[in-house]
Amino acid sequence: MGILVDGATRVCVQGITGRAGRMQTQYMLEAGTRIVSGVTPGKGGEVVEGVRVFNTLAEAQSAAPADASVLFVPPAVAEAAATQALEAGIRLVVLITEGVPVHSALRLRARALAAGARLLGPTTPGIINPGRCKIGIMPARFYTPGPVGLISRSGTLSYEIGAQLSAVGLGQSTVVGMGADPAVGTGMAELLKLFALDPQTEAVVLVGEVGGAQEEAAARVAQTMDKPVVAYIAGHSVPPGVRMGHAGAIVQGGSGSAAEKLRVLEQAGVCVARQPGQVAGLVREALKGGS
Amino acid sequence: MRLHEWEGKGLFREAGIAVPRGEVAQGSEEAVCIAGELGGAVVVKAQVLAGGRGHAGGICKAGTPKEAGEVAAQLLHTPIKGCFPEGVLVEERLEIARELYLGLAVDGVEGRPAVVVSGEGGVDIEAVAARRPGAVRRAHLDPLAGMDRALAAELTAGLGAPGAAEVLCCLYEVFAENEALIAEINPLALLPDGRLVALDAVVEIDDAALFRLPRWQGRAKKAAGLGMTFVELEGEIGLVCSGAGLGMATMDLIAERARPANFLETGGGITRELMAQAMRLVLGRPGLKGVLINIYGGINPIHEGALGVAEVMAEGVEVPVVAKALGNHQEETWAILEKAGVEVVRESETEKAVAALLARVGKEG
Repeated sequence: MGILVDGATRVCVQGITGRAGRMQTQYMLEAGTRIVSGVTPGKGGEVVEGVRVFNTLAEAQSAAPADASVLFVPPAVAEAAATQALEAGIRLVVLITEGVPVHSALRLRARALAAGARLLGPTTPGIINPGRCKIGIMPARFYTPGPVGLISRSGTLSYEIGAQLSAVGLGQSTVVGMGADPAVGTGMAELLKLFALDPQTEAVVLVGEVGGAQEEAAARVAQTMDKPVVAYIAGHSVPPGVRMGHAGAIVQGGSGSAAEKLRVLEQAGVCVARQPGQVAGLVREALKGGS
Repeated sequence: MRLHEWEGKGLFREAGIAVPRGEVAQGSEEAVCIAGELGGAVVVKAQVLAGGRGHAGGICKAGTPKEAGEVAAQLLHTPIKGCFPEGVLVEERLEIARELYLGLAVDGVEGRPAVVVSGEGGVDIEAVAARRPGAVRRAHLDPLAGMDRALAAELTAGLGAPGAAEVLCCLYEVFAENEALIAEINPLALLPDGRLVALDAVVEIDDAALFRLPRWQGRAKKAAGLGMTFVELEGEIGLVCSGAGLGMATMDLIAERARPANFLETGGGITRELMAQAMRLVLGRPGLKGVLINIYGGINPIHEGALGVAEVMAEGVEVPVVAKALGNHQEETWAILEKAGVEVVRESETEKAVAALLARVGKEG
């Protein structure tokens, strides 16, 4: 099990002929992902890493239908490419691209919801169900199969915490990068609800950061869950009003601060880690307590 | 990118929202002229982007053109939260019956634009919402459908200002066409004759959309070189990280026992050149005591980045440099860094990398 993807998920890579698209296709194939097609307009007929390339999603779908697509396309064409995927019946669109305009992300989320599909990102490292399916740029070596669900706003921090969970024998059901932009396709609370229903997942880790209100919304879901939830929030030392790289990471007035997020999460019964290195230990304790 | 009040009001005016008559002055003589043309009492407003401008004394009244000139001179030479004004806006002073609030913003949790309307404008709207939740109305819009006239009428029905629905529709036009994250009128003044006038304008444009907003491209600050984010801080420990979340987490850990000199996030486009530039940027800081590199090879070819670090190390670096680099091509990366004289931490805990560097600079826990 796990959420959103599994060993049967068939994947299309949009922007497969670019540098990142090619390299990541190779890594995804090595991780066991079933990549059935690639799309780059004007490059139909080429073959990348043994994967057939088509000019459009519609052509790709009629030749080798995919359930999910992953996008390595420039920001200016991301909305059009992701919309094409949704129109072609793709159920899960993973938008890796950084720098997609927020209003494009808002429209894409609305289109995905209307189509009954899911959008992850923009600015997501993707999603991995360890050993079964990797759709994204995270290095597979950090992850092992197991009972822990992981949702992260930050890509590289999810690698770090995933690796630490794996190192102490706590494998993962699914690791999802939700993206770090002000508006994303699927929010932390929505992903947490999916983990709450997943039979493989016994505990969930939330990796948040300053800015926005994703963690506060997730806290309201955590409160209703039987499974333990552990959270870490980055950005305690970030000065208010300064944007630290992620477009969504800014503390405005008193809201969005790391301290406020920790307070809300703790109040909802979530175990909070003060340092990223404490997460794995807290998960182990929480799982012991539950059994 | 936050727009200045006068820029926001320009957008309002074009969209059909009334704003006070007025112009921007860069000096006191210009302010005298503008006030003279307006005739009568004016308001002089410092054009700074810092919040809380009113409380900081950035808005002054003037009864005569001469007084407007004096006030302008004073405002232009007074920094607000560290920033000098980029001009002053000299506007006619209007008689106000009531102050309202209209705002549009991207709601990240809902993933939709949020509309906020209140009959209590002129103050911090979040404070109003906290004190009297009933005084603030909120609704969400379908980003594909946009603003609905019926919804605008319904939301503004309780304001006792018949023109407010039309103003809200115009504000949505400004929000959508300029790809704003926030478009806010606070206050929207209701005049005794029933007219509605926007007394202030807060518009923040999405930087990511600038490529398709030619109007604002010239106004945007130059990007920091090769796509990285660099923020200078006050400390002595330099940082090079891939990923903003990891960067903030690393900064937090350093801040427990020392002070970060900067935040530097490489983004997903690491190359040899980018890492060399990042290292030089960080090392350029006077009083620097050490540098921590914390990077992951996911989308980034860290083995190529390591060559850039080695290039800078070969030029002679006087402070200790510690690196944690994991992911694709990690072994190759370690070999390059170690050969270049960088201490490599191979564990996955950033805590251990921070401890290793702080031990080298004499800040052991």
